[in-house]
Amino acid sequence: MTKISSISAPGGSTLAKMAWRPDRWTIGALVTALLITGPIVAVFVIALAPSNGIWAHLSSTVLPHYIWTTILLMSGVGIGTLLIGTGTAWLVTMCRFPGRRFFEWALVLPLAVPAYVIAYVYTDILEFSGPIQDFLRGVFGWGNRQDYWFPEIRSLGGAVSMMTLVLYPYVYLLARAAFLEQSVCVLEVSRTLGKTPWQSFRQVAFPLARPAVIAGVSLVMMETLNDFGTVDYFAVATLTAGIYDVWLNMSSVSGAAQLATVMMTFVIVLIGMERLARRGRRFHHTGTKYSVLPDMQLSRPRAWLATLSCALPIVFGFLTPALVLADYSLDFYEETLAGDFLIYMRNSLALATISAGIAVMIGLFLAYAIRLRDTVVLRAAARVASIGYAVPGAVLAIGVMLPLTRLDHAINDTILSLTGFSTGLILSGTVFAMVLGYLVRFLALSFGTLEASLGKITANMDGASRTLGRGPASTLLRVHIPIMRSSVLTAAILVFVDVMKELPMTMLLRPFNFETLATYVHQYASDELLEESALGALSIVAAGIIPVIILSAAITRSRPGRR
Amino acid sequence: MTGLTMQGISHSFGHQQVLDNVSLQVDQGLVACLLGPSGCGKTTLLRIAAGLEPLQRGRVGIGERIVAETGLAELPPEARNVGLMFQDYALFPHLTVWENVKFGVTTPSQDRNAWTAAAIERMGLLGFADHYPHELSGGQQQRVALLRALAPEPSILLLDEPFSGLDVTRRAQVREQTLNLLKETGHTALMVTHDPEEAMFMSDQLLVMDEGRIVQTGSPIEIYQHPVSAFVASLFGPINELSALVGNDGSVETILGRFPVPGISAGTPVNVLVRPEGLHAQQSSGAGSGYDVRLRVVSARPIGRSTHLRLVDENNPDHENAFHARIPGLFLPASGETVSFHIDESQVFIFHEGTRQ
Repeated sequence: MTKISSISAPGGSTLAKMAWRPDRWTIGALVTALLITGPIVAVFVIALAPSNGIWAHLSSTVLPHYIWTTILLMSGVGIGTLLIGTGTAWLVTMCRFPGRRFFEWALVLPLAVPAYVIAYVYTDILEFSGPIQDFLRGVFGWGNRQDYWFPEIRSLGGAVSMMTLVLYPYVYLLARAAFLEQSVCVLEVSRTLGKTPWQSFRQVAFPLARPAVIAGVSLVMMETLNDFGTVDYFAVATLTAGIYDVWLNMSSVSGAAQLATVMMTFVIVLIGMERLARRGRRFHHTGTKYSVLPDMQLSRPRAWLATLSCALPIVFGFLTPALVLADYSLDFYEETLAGDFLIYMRNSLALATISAGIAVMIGLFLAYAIRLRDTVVLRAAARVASIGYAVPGAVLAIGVMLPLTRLDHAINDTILSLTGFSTGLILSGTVFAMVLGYLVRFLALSFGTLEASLGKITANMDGASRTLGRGPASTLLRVHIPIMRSSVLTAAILVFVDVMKELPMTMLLRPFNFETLATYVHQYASDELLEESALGALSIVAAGIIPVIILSAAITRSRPGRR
Repeated sequence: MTGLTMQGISHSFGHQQVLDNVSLQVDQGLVACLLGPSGCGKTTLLRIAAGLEPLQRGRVGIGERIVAETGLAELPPEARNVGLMFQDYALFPHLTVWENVKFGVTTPSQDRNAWTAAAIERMGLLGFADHYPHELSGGQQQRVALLRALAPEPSILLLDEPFSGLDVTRRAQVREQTLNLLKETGHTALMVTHDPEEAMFMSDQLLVMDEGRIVQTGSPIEIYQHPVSAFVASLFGPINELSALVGNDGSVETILGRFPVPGISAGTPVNVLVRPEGLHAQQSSGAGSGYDVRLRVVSARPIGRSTHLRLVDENNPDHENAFHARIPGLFLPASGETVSFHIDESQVFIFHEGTRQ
């Protein structure tokens, strides 16, 4: 065999002596992950700073109350969504009753309504001066509050109900997917062993679906922790409400940061719960035999009961708020449009579009970097960067705001000393801060969607493109992205809609005099002027319907052995 | 001039060593085949040549250039000018046939366009140029994948089990078309396969691999006629295997006859391998002498162009270890009948017992 050295003689070796060349993709991914985790780390750092006795003051006065209220709220919502979500999912997958196919996708509708919107609507309807109580007083001839009892909507119980109504779809979706995945055999075996449908559910189906349900409930609790609009409006003293109070009223940012740290313990517990549950799912796959699932035909009265049970969440969680808002909008749209409504709409749309665009780019970049160099470091970086969805908006706002403020001061001081010119605050209190906050919180949505979709493209596609002369970046642009088109769009839509709906972070990070649809609606509702801002609320709900439509399409397609 | 050279390639995945100091060389314009069972490392070798697997140890040269060497930064796949045809074709689903084939051609020219159009027509894909991959049959997809790899005029062409996705009836025809195209364009090609018939048909040079090592190289007929080990001998199909001890006269005595074993001392246990096609049956009396092995027929099954016989020793029938004979044409003795055979010594191979390589 000819020695290769004689072949290499002519041109000499074209290969460079190998030094450790830092790899573009890894560095980029790490830098991005660092930027995203920065705000979360900042919260911890700030919390450790001295706080002028605020901590002692807080812990002896309101902290226990905040913590207890938060726990109660989360538990209430957790239980409520567990019951409604799992129950409806079971009915819809396992039983036959009128309207079942409609409910399958319609049960997701309440996801379009943000919790604070539904809170405003029901308060409007159910308060003392609202139409329901008016009606009751008219019918029964009651005079004033002493004459009858009516549940007070502006309470912890009210908050629990409101959030349950709009958050149960998370549990519903995951429980439904779990029930569908279960091998038919397991349930049939259960029936042949003499178990009644109820026993089958309790002893077989539910335990098998438990990991999925727990994951769903964790997500629900994270959203509950995150909520500001509802608890503020109802004067329910949760930790989030406490952060606003301490920051804005007591002007103690470090006190707020310490409350934020307490919240982080909740967050860590919830993340742990969700991750454990997701891992448990692997062991709950009882087989891959898909066939048409056996439907239990319900007796007449039971069937109608099932229909009712599925209809009620949709009626209360979506239909009522939508109709009420539509009604108000029709009456008041002239006033609304005469005001600055279009400006707020423009602000919301601009923020949402920019954030969605950047989130998709970062998500793609991270997912592709992992595909190119699948190292432990990169995977860890991606996972850490995806943690934002679990961190409440208020906490993130603190983590974004303070470092940026400090940076601004540093820049300002430097330029001042160099040129005598004061730049003022250029980063904090600007749209930049808001977009950064949104990115930190919603990157998980974009990254998760894109990573899953990228994973469906076989590795040989990359190999084919590379051997045909395209580098990694060119391959991403010409092969992967075109194939992943619909997934890129989905990721963008998910982030877009979530930014449209976002309230807690926006409230804290927005520049002076800058309103989005969400803050505008919250402001007007707080001033008892919901009717005038109803068009804004309706726009938010309308935006929220788009992901629901995407989800419903996926739902109707996801029935194995399509009937 | 060599088209592809690989020297001293070793590779492991984690603790699992997949390639052990493999060296090979394919001359310009020839088609070489890597033949071996699954898991022997042949696909990994191919991927290292293409640059899809980072080189751990060794050296790879394509044409005149070294593209990878231990300790030096290696040339990425896009810079190597290598064509690779994947087992699953990996056609881009979002591009038409024409766009797929032209994907690697970055500097379009009149010539390439003309060649591409002519090649598409030659392969029977005329009229499918603006169809999408999912609209094509398996055979059509395979041809598109081949054209796509060839269109950018690569220095060498690598093929990873290119015909395994096709059904058997198609395979022979597509194989021949592919070989014709390769010979016409004069490309150097290295193909990976586990099908011995395919390897023999396609290759000018055959490399047999087992467990990460190259066991034998040579022309197909060389390897068929002079295998260096029992493993190589049995690659070409099921083979009759007998154990025996070398006698004092330097030969082994077996049911199938006495065969000389030069160079192996008496008393050594050996494996005697006889190919089924080496048993010639006496189909009519008076067919000549030399048919002195008598065996009883257990079953005779025609399989088209040949007949497959299961045979046992009439004195000591051992149905568990029956012999197999492949007789050309149709020859159907009754079960239980005794037939005389002549053993073709060129189909008898004797190796030390217990060695695989």
